[in-house]
This record gives sequence, structure tokens and C-alpha cells, in this order.
Amino acid sequence: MPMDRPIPAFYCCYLLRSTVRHSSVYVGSTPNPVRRLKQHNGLAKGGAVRTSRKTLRPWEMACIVTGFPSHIAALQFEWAWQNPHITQHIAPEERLQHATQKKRSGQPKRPRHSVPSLLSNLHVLLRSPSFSRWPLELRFFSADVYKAWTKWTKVTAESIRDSIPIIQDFSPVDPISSEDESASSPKNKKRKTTHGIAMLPVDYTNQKTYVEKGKEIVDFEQEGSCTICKSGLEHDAGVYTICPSPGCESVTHMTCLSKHFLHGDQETLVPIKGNCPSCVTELRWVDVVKELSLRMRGQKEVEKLLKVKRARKTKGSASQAAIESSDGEDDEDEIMEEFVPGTQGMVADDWRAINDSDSDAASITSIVSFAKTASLHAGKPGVLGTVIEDSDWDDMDVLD
Amino acid sequence: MASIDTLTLSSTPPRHFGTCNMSSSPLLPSPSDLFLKKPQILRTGSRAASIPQNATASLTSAATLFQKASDNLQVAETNRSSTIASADIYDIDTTEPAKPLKPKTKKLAAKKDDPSNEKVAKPTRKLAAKKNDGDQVKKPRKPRAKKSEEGVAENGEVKNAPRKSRAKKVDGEENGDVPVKEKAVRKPRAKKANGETQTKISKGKVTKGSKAQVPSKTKVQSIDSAADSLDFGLIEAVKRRTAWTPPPPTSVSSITPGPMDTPGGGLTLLESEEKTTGFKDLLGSFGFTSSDANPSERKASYGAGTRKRKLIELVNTNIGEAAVVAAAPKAKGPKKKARTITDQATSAYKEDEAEQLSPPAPPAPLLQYFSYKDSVNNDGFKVPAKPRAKSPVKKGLKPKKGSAQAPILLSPESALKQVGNQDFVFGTSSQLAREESPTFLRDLHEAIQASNQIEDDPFSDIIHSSLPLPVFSSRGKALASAKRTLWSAGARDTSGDLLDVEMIDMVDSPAVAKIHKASATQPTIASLSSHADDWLDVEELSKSPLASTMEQMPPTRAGPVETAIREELLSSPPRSSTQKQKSPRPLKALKNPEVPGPSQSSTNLPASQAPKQPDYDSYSTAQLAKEIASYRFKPIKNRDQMITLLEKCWEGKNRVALGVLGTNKILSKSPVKKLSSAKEPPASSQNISPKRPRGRPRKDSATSLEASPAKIKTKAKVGRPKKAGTVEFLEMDSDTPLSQIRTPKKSQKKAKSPADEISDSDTLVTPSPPRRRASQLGSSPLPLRLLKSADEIAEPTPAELQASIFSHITKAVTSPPPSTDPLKPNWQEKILLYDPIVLEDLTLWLNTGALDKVGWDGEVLAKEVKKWCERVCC
Repeated sequence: MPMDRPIPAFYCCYLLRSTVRHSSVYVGSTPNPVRRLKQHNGLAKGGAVRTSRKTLRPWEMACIVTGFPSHIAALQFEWAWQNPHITQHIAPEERLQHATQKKRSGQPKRPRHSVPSLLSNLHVLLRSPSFSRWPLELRFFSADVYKAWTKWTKVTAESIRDSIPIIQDFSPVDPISSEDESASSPKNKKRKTTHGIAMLPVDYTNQKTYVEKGKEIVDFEQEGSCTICKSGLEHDAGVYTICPSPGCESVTHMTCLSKHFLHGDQETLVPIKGNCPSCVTELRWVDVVKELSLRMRGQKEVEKLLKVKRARKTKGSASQAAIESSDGEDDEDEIMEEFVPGTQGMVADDWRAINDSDSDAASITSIVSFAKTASLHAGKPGVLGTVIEDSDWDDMDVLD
Repeated sequence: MASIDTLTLSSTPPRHFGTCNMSSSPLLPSPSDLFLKKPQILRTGSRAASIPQNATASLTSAATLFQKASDNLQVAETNRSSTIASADIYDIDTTEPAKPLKPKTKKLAAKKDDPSNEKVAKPTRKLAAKKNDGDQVKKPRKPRAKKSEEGVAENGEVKNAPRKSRAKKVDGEENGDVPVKEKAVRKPRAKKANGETQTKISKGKVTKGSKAQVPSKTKVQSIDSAADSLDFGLIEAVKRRTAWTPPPPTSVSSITPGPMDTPGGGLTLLESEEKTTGFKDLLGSFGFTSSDANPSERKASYGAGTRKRKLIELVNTNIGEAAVVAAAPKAKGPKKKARTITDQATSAYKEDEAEQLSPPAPPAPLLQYFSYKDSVNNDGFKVPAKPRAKSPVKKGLKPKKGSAQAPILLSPESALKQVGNQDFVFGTSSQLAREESPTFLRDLHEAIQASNQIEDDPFSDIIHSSLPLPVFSSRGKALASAKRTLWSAGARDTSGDLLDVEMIDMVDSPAVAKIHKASATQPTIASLSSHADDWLDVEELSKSPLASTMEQMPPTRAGPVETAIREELLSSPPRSSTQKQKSPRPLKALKNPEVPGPSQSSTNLPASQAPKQPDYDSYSTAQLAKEIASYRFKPIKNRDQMITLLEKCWEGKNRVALGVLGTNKILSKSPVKKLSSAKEPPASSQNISPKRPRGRPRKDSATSLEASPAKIKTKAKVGRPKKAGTVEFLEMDSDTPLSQIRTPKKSQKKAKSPADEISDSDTLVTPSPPRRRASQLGSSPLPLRLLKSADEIAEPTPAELQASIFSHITKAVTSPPPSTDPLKPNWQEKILLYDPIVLEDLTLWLNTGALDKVGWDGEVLAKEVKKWCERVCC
């Protein structure tokens, strides 16, 4: 099955922890952590059963791993994280946790997770050859979890690759309570978007200028010749990468650029970062490729990203709502609130229906369709893309 | 059937009558019934007799008894009707007039007077026309039911039988409830019925008598006899009987004793009647004694009918043990088959048969057999034994076996242990029987074991394997998990909950290993080398005759320990030494002294010498806690758990530390060993056999060691685990004979007594497999050599192979030109785009030309491609 989607704007695996009882943990993945957290906390439909116990709510995302290049990658990682005792991504000698029991089916039973165990396994996973070269980032939202992490990193002899940034994103006040607040009240969260999962860019906004630039070059067939191999780049006849930096018009074969980034390293295929051959700006490979994938496969996303802008100029409230949604700083519910009174009910209904599906991916696409319909002033429901379910980690153990 | 239905309908409770039946004029049918019934009465006397039995209530007047009985019956019927046929009521009402006719007719045919009897009894009481009808109808049923019991099936009456039984049950329960109303109804008819019923009763008695006399005769006859009895005017007797009789629970029980008495009861009809009336009473009190008196007779008579066989058998047994004896040899005769090689080979394991087989051949043993059998047989025959000759014989044999030569039944555990020791060689019997060198098979077997060993994850084997699971089939992980059980069990508290300990297994974790590596690289090297030396020494020693070993051993290497070993070897006579040396313990014991003074043991850095496991048992609890804390475990309350944990930690620590650097050392050394061993072989084979045993395990270890590099290479794909494993392996070697490690049983043993190993050096308890040793004595090392050389040759390949495969795959993936269609990126571009890679597709692509283009002649497996992917991209 050929990949038909661009690299997602955002996808993360998160370590969810009960604020009530810190020993209760959950590992999940989502393209939209804010929404997902609300689900876990019962504020929105579709939370995992494992997190449904009221006494354990509210939950907080203690730390997240972001930057997965595809939803499949995220799911792989999530599974590996959930099942450190059996995953193939951890070499046997690296394995920290072993199954001590067997399930009735004979499968090894997962040992219970705790924050330290999950962190240590996360450390192992980020070191493993499978994931170590992915463009991942690690974010901590709670100080104590970060403390546990650092403690562990001191214990372990090996450290994770330094290309994986570790970001501390603690609430200035009390991380737990603020996190809690932001999850429970969108309004509050909107006001203080200075930290936490609400701040995370879950859409392509950051790539907007880049995308625009690329689109321009491609639309006007200005590829020219490969900066590296100097051969001509026939329009639409290859996979070309474009330098994101504003002034640079370097266009290259993707393979050429990768080799350039790798500096002749024969062993590895996928670079992590490198310098633009033309402007020497340091580029992350994932950024380059993300734009490329958007150009190649993300017609809808690009359309949305760019059209919103146009709509903003021409349309009133509706477009604004759409922008907000695309900004990703708003919760979807909030968008709906703003939007419903302003524009046609049909669109709103349509959107709401989409929202009901327990799919973060669907919500993304729904935003797209919403933007489209809003701009067209038509009641046409957008076409839903493939739905990516949030992985519900059904057999997670909630620690008792 | 129809008649039955009608009956039930009539019996419906008064309410229904009020609504429906009243209009249908229930009165009318009753007279007709009466007419009809009179004739019926004559015939039905036998039934009547049966009725009183049913109605067992202890009432003073016979009439009341009858009434009650009838009432009860009626009640039961009403109950039935109400429950069953409420819907049918309408039909019943309409049909009622007709219904009575039907039952009457039936009664006429058979024995229908019971209702009439009841009627007679009731005379003084209330007049309820409706009820009368119902009663009449009901009564006929009763008799029918009885009939059915008796076996006379008339028309549809067979079905009535169950009803009857119900009615009886109800009787006991509901005597007091309904009787009044119904009794009133019956007045007119009752008189007639009484006489009839009495007659009937007599009939019933007669029937019993007849039955008793001629059990084989059927009920039909009894009925006839009942009819005869009518004439004698037994009605009154019946009444008496009913009055006298205490309530008999079940008709059946009463009936059964009847036949018993019959022989005794000579049987005038009256007497028989009386007996029947008194039947229950008398039998109830005396019946048992009578039965006691006759039991033998009965049994005999019955037995004659049913158990003819047994009797015959008994006779046979009595007649002859001789016969039995005769039979026995016959049975044995056929068993003697031509002795095949298979038989010979397996004879050792068929003890039962073997015993049976062997004795028969010579006559003398046969005689013994007889005598033996006699003694045994007596016991066997106390119970009427089966006629078969064989069974007694077997009985005789079994006790024999249990006591004497036969092996004791082992417990599963010990059996497993034995199996662990046992070398199995599979082949056709002819192959197995080959006389040529037994050692060849041995060697072959051990070589196989060694090679198998290589496949295993050494960690899994060595680490506290609590279960004697078959190690050889192990795949690293599964086994590791399985073996963990003991450890994990130790990590549980009394309630079965996991202690905090298990969450992070720091001991095994590479992280810890790395720490150690980082911190103590230098020392570990030294220690390892020293260890390897020790190991080498031991092996050589074991391989070669003592003298040669002594000579060969470089003086520099010889530490006090080694010297001690040598001394012991030399001093002890070969026999004893073999015994002692077989056991892993002595070796350890000798080595243990190393612990305190690492400096002594090796020329290398003494301090770095592989640390001996501290005796945690001697630690104070506080110290233990401290130690545990040093491993970053949460405190554990249980001291034993602490110790186990610490031991494990210690093991893991040292293992890892040694492991990292160990591999290379070993590899480099292996050739040397070979050389030395190559020189020796002839001498060793000729030399003292007793020492062989020792040498054997060593050799194995050597083979395994040498084989290990190959393994490492193959596993290089996987990564370090293999190396670590091999290293650990080596280290283990230094401590314990390989044989221990190799067989699951031994490892288990070790796991059980980690503390013991340290402390009790003197005890030579450990049973190292002596048999193997003995068998190995003659074995020539040559085949092993060959194997080794083959391994050596193969050694470089797997790792290199994989490396080259990977490089070729990489080349294959990167070589094609960039795709010209952005929608169809080539594999490299897909990878660069972070696309999920479908392994099968990629493998297919690689195998269909891509690899050929880059000069790789061959195919790759999806597994390899996966590893490549994990390494390269995702």
C-alpha cells in the first residue's frame, strides 16, 4: 500500500498519568493531545476504557514523544513502549523488563508499568536503532517526571542521541493543576497557551511559508537543476526537495540531498539534519521531507493551509473560526461554539457529526473540510479522509 | 387417551363447575355412571385392593379410609385437571356425559370398581352432585393406574399409570384438605362399590401370591387370580387391612417383599389376603428378618438365573490353581517372540514384560514361578477371582516388582533430572546396536549437544533456571522468560504481589552492564584473562592424562588453586578421583579459596580477578539493605529475598563485566587449545579411563567454546546479547563444569543452591552424571576435532555474511536512479520520506533482481531485511 498521506503535522506518543494516583499510568498516541486528554478525562467522547475510572481522573500528560513521521510510526512506537517486554525493537540484552508471567493464551504477560519503568523503557527505545534516527522530540510537562528521567539518564551508561531534543515544558505554577485546568477549561487554556500540550503546534502552520514557497516553485515550474548533481529537474518527474530558507532557491533531488546530508555515510540511509548545499542553512531532514510530502501527497492539507489565508481576507467570522481551528490553539469544541452561531447550521452539524467519531485524524480532516465548506459558503459536507483511530490501549493495566 | 382427558376435566375444581359444568348438568352423567359402574365393580375388585394400599392414612373406620383415599385421589385429579387441563374444561363439560361411559366401558373390560367402593364409603356426607360426577370419573382412573402398574395395559390406560402414582403422592399430602365435599357425593354408589372393592383387594393379594410362587409369570395371571379372589368376600378383610395398615410410603416397596414371602406363605386365599393386608405391617417389622433368613437361598436362586457365569467361575477357581497354572505357561508361550534387536534394546525399559518373558524360557524358573504363584494366588482368589489365568499371575508379579528389583517409581522431578542426565541417541535399533565404538555415539551426541548449546541463549540456560525445561529447543527470549520464573517468584511477597523490585531489572539491564564496563574495563580484562587461563588449565588437565596435563601446564599459570587441583588428582587413586571429580563441587571447592585472595590466583591483576560472590548470608540485614540500595533496588523486607536478589545482582554484574571483553579473548585462545589437544588425542584415549569422565566435560566445554564464536557471528545481526551470552558462558565454565551448565537439570541444581556452592566445599554430594563418564571412557576426541575445525572455518561467515548482505541491500536500495514519478518513489525515496516500509514488498523487490544488480548472488529473507531496516531506517 503506497503511502497516501503526508507526514503528519503532529503525532505524539504520550505518557498519561493520573494526577490522583501517580502510579496509574497509560501510554497512548494521538495527533491531537489536547483533544485526546479531554477524552481521557471524560470531557469528550471516546476515552480509553482504561482511563475511565473516575477516581483516577483527571489525567495528565506527563511527557510526550513528538515528531513521528507517520501515524504508523507512532503506533509502532506506542506499541513498543507499551510492550517493552516483548517488542523486537529492544535488543534482548537491552531489555529492562521481562515478562514474569504468562497470559492464559500463553503470551507473555506485560509487567506492570510505572512512571520510572516507562521512562527507562522510553530511554531504551529512543536509543534503539529502530527509533534513534527518527526525528523525535521528548517533552516533559511535569517536573517530577522529568526528575525521574534525569535520574535514570544518570544511571544509564548510554545516552540517547543528542539529535533528540529534550524539552522541559513545565507550567510556571503547579504543573499538575495547570495542566488539569487547561484540560478541563478550554477558555483558560486559550488564555495561557504559554505552555503545555495546548501550546503544541498540531497542524502545519509552521510549515506555511515553506509550503507556500514550494508551491510557488513547483507551480511555476522553476525547479531548474539539482543544486547537487547539477542535472536538470524536469517538472513533476521526480522527487525534489526544496530548501525552506526564504531566500534560497535551491532545489535538489531528494536522494542527492540525503547523500549530501549524510556526508558519504554509506551505512545510513536517512539523514537527520544537514546544511543546505546552497545557503548552508542547517536543515532538519524531516522538515524538508515534510514539505515534500505535503507537496506530493497533501493536496488537501495544503489547500487548507493556504486557502484559509485567502478566506480570512474575504470572509468574516467563519473564516476566522477556521483559522483558529487551523492554528490548533483552540479546542475543537471551542471552534464549534464560535462557528455555529455565525454560519450555516448545516456545516456545523456536519462538523459535529464528524467530531463525534472517535478519531483524532478524523477531526483533522474535518477541520479541513470545514474550512473548505466555510470558504465556499456551501453546505456541502467535506469528504472524510481515512480515519486514524486513537489507539486505545485496551489491555493497559491501571495500577490498583 | 380421550377417556383420560375427560376424567381429568370432570375432576376440575368446583369453580369451573360453577361456571361451566353446572350448565352441562353434571347430575345426569352420574346416574348413568352408576349403572355402568355396577357391572364394572365385579371385575375391578383387584384394583380396589390396590387402592387401600395407596391410601395408607391411619383412620379408624374403613369407610373413612376409603373415602379419604378416594378423596385424595380426587384431589390429586382435581389438581391435575386444574393445572393441566383448565383449558379443556369446556370440552370436558360437554363430553362429560359421554366420558363416564367411556371409563365405565373400560372398567368393564378390566377392573373398574374402585370408584364405586369409594362411593360406598362416603354415604353419610354432603350431597354434591357435581362432585359425585367428578369423583366417579376420578375413581375409575385410580384402578386403571394400578392396572397399568401391574402391567395390564388396557386401551389408553397405560398413560394413566403415571397419574396414579401422582395421585398416591398427593394422598399423603392432602388428606385433610378436600375430602369432605367429595365424600358427600358418593353416598349412593359407595355401597355397591364396597363389596366390589373388597373382592378386588383379595384379587390383588392373590396376585401377589401367584407372583411369588411363579415369579416368571406375568401380571396378567395375577389379574386373573384377583378375579378369582372376588368370590371369597374379602372386602371386609380389605377394610381391616386398610385400617390396620400404617401408611406405606410406596406401593412398589410393598409389592416387592411379596414375592419374598410367597415361598413361606402356603396360601389359602384368605391367608394370602391377610398376609397382603398385614403385608406392609408385618413386612415392615418382620420382613427384614425373613429376608435375612433366606438370603442364601434367594441368592442362590437368583444367582442361578443371573450369575451362572460366576458360579462356574467359582468352581473353576476352586478346582484349580493347577488349571490356572497350566493356563499361565500357555499365555507365556505366545509371548515368547523371536528376540529382535529392538527387543533387546528396549528390554531394559520393559520391566513387566521382561520378567514375564524371561522366566518362561527355562523350565526351572517356571517351577519357581508356580510356587510363587500359589502363594500369591491365595490372596488373589479370596475374592471370586476371574477365571483367567493371567490375571492372578499378574497380581502375583506386581507385588514382587514393587518390592524388589524393579526400579522405584520416580517423582516427576527426579525423573526429569534423570532424563537430563540421560543421553538419548535416536536411530534404528540396528544402528543403536552397532558394536563399533560406543564412544562414537557418545561423541556424536556430545558434539550435537555442544552445537545445540551454541544455539541457545546462554543467559537463559545459566541464569537461575528454576524449571527443568528442555533447554535445547530454547529461543532466547522465551526461554529467558521461562527461566526467570524462579527469580520472579522470589520477587513476590507472601500475598503473591509483585514487589517493587521487578519493575526494573537492573541486574540484567545493559545499562548497568555498561556502567560497569565503563568503570571497570581495565580490571575486567585482567580478570577475564585470568579466568580464561584457569579454564584452559582445567580443560587440558581433564583432557589429558594427569601426567601429561601436569607437564603441559605452564608453571606460570599454576596458581595455588590449580596446584591444589593437580595434587588432588595425583594423590587420589584414579577410581576415587573419577568419582570425586565427576561432581562439580570439588572443583568449586578448590576454587573457592580464590575468593578471599584474588591476588594468588593469577599473574594478572589480582584485584581484578573475577570477584568471588560475597557470602551474603553472613551479612547483617542492615548490610544487605545497604547492598540492595547500592543496586538501586527498593528496600526489601524479607532477608532471603534480599540475599537472592543480591546474589543475582552480583552475578549479573560480574557476568556483564566479564562478558564485554571476553569474546575476543576466547576466540584468540581457542586455536591454541586445539593445537594442544590435537597432540594429545592418542595418548588421552589410551590413558586412564577413569579420568576421562573429567576430561569429557572439559572437552565439551572446549567444543562449545570454539563453537561459540560461530554462534556469535550468526547472532551478530541481533547484536550483543550473543556476545554477552558467550562470555557468561565462559565465566560459568570457570566456575562449574560445563556439564552442569549444559543440561537443564544441572543448571537448576545450581540455581537452587547458590549459597551452598560457596559454603560446603567438602561435601561431594553433587551427582554428576557418572554414566556418561563411564560411557565416554573410550571415546576418541577425533570426531570432535573435526567438528571444531568445521566450526572454525564457518566462524567468520555468519557475521560477515550479514554485514555483506546489509551492505548489498543498502547498495541495492540506493543504486537505482531517482524515480521520475513523484507518486511512485523508489525504495530509497520511500525510506527518505519516512514511509512505512512493507518488508515483504521490499524483500520481493530485492530478490527479484535488485540484489543481483549489485552483485549479490542469492536471496535475502524478510527477516534479514527487517534487521536491515531496523538498523538503517525504521
